[in-house]
Amino acid sequence: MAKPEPRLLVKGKPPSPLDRELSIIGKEIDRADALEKTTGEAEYTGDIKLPHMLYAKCLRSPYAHARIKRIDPARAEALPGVRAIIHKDNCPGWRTYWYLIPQAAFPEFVSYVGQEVAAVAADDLDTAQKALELIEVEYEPLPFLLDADQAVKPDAIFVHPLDEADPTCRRAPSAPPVGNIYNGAPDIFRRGDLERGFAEADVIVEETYTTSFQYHATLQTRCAIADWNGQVLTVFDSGQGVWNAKLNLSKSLGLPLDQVRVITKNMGGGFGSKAAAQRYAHYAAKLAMLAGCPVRLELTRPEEFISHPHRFSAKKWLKIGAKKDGVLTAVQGKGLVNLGVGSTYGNQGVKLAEHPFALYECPNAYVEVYGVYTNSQLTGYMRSVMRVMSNFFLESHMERLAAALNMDPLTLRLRNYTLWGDQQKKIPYSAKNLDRCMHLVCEAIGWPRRKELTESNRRTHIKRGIGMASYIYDGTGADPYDANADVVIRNDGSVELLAGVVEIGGGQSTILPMIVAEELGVNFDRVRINYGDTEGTKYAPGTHSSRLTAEMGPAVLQAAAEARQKLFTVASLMLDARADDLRSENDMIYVKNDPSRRIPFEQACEALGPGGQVQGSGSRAPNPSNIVLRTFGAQAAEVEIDVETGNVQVLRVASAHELGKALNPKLCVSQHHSGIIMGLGYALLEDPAFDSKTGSLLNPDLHQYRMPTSLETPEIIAYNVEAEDPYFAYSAKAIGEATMVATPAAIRNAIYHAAGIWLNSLPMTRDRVLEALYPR
Amino acid sequence: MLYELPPLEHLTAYNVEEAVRWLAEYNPRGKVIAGGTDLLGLMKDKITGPQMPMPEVLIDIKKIPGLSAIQYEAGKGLTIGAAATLTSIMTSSIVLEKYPILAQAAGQVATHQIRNMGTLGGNLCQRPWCWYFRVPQFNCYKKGGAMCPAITGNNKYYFSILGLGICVMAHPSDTAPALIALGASAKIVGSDGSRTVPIEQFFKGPREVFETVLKPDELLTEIQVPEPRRNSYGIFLKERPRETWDFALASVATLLQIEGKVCQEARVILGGVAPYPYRALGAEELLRNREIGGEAPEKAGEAAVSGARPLRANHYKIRLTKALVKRAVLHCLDRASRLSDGV
Repeated sequence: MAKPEPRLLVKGKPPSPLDRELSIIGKEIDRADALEKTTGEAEYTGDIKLPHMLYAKCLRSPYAHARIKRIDPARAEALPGVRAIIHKDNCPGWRTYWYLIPQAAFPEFVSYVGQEVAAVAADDLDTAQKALELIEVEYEPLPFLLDADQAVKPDAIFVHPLDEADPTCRRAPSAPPVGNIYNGAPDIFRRGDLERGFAEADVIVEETYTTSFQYHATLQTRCAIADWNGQVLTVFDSGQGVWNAKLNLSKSLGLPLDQVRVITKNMGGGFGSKAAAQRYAHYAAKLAMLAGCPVRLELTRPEEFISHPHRFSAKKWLKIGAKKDGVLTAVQGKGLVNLGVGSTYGNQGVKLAEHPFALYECPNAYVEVYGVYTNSQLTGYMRSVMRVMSNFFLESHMERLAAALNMDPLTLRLRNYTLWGDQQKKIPYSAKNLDRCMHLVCEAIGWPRRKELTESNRRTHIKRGIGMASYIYDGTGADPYDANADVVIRNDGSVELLAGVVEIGGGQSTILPMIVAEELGVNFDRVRINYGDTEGTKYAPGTHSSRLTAEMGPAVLQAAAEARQKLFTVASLMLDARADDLRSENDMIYVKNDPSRRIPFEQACEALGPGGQVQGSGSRAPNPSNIVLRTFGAQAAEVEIDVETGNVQVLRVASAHELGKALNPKLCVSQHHSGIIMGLGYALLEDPAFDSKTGSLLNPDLHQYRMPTSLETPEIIAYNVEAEDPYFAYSAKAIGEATMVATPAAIRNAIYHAAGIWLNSLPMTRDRVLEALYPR
Repeated sequence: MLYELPPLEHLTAYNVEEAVRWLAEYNPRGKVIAGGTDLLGLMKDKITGPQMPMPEVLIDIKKIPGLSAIQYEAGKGLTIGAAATLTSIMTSSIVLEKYPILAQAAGQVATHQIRNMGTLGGNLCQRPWCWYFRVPQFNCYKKGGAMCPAITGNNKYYFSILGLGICVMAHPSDTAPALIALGASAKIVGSDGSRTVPIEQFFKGPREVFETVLKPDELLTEIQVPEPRRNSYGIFLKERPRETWDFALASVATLLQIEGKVCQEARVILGGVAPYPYRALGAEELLRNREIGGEAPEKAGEAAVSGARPLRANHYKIRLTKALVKRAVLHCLDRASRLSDGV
């Protein structure tokens, strides 16, 4: 039988797979940073103090929409201890960047409460705070809109200044509603003939669903410390990508790339909110260059809430037609996304559309997604950015359809299963085992108990229910597909992995060295990783979109394999064998057919001579277009609802995610846990509240912005579902973000099973539950 | 949105007289500090207004001898120092034995950490948790503004359905309903001497800026709880969005004196649904001097919320409160039928 072509996604010829059992990959190795983080030894950006460091604070707009008529910092400048102030008049035309998106650093028009108007650096925080109060600003308040529903109306006002250079302000110049719509038109996805599809349907259900914003509320509040020594700008950042931050800062400040260094060693949570350099780091850098001293800018908790980009909210109308046997004939959806004042490219329409368009087989589908600007703060990436909403919409609706068909919801989902990644062009998925995931979670939760529960619920006001949802997620890499790594083996036997990535807390700084150790056949402890620093590393993606394993995995593997083969060339002379016939494992290099001919790894390194080293490099290639790469999963939840008080408790959640390969299974399991907890918060608790008269967020704190605590955390049963996918390192794709996608829908469907109420809006707070139970 | 506390003076009082003298001397810049779990947060968040100047002098009462004590004397009842922590109350064996609804209420306040620091006096004197009060940019009525922005604003969580006035915040205290049910009184010491006020009258209505009858130069020193009535059965129930670190969406402290099958005396006090701990007189009336089986619990629930005027977003609290009252009465009846001499 001919060996399959290696298909690992790397530039150049993919290395051959290791011709032996894996000895490190798949092992539950403790996280390399576990001890220092749990003991408090780990140094975060906020812990860093530099000599002569100044403290910065931002002045923020109290208005949701206003023109700054006049700004006068004279009195603040006169305050002793104030070292630098920046604002629109002394930084005309200055732009900050986010993913190279140019945004006016201090625009004339502010378009949300909390937008930065000026920044001050002073000897201490107290002085900086006082200086803010001394800056005189004259605003011309303008009308504003918070709801997407309002902003698409024909008589709506413009919510956002038109900024030709800024694609996030890609508002059409024509009048609203078009004017407030991203690109002036919806994203449209279609196949087949919708009309015919609905004509063929025996049952048609339609419904409107809504979700809310969600805040990341990372434990660490954003902090940047910028230090300009006249030659190099060093920024200790707290972002998810040091390389993105470096590119952004260099462009914003007009510095050559070699004069900008960004370091983020440890992060206290990101979840997408710190996915690239943001304005705060730019302000710190500019102030440091003006003041000639290092500047530290750290946000407070309320500032975190009002100034970081939160999850979009969305609304979707869905109409699905099916035959009596459950086979789908037509899927139609219309989505409205509240983009706030934007911040990232576009309306993420592709992601909002993928669930209704692709999760189930259906010849006729049409989905349109409108992105609408409003004055409700910045929006942006957050764990499973649009997919969690998209999934809530579709999987809630599938439950509705199952009820209309009087059909088991699992059976309905399996009946419409598809292996086509592109149903129209008949392009398959590289791997899809979603059916296995569905069966696993249903078995774990006790799906057949649904009947007895329905029966026993009749006798009590505490009712139990079981529900499920399945999902599709990408996590297989994304534009610009630029991921690079180097592996250096030195003559003392030490191994260094150079990877310009950030350890976000998922274990990236553990799994990438595991790949190196596996490929070199050395013990894990031998490999040191240089990460979170643009110095000494090449461009690497930010740690977001669950892309690190899928993008860096192949690059790191290629780099390690190349270094290994170079070392084997040296070792081959010592073992009197061809390099291709050598293998390595457990710190030994041996001849494949005669393992007794062996030398220790270190001995081969010694032969590199004093000062000698070998280096391997790896680079990721783009995803191919002739196959669709995705990850999949399913979750099932058991809930208890007290129908007198409306209290909902999630008792258990079973979660199965098809990730290709779990490089380190226990780290993957922890992602199931965190995703489910975050999804539960989005489903039941987290409820951002705005004041409609001022546009202010009313709960910018961890008390009234309620995230789940350990008391709300259910029992979690997690499965890492493995399946071969030759495009990735050992088949490893992604898990992190995906694990929250189905949680809200699974909980919502379980509530329906328990109490017979359809909750179509997130979060499913007490008022909504009670009003559904007892309609007025 | 300050990072740190503004510069301030911290004075340690070693007796009540000293504390009261300083309160008068530093008024209005002086504030009493015990646990500080509410006060310091207000200061760090810079919650100020015409009626809320930023405190500059904190008068610490924790070192005053006896102010943290919990003492019981048979026949006389219980005395709790205002600076006794909530943890010390919820774990006190005498409170657990004789006044369980107070232990239940104290145990459901906030979190372990806050209960370890926070005091009974602080729980009674805490300021509103309405978000218009807690977000600095709103000059709400309680801070000295002209009106309450919550009436027409977002009023989903910590807002009232009963006893609405100029301000519609819901009183956040868990211990107050329990203390009122138990017939407790507050001892207040001021420059002009001391006075004792029933807890029920300790709280002012929704037309006043300050929630309690305390004058600026007065100190709440202790809470006196009379000997519990014979054959009384009670419970404190609280519903909140999250199982910890949350104030009540609705709570009820219920204490029924049940002899045989007849309810001799009834106390039904609601928390989290009115700008002050709300005595549901209608429900009490319905239960008092009646044999209370059958539909009485349900009826008591309905009576408790009669006259409710929900705001735009908190209509759900009517049903929630009804359910809690019904459940509390059922619980008391159940206990009465199983125990001969109540707790």
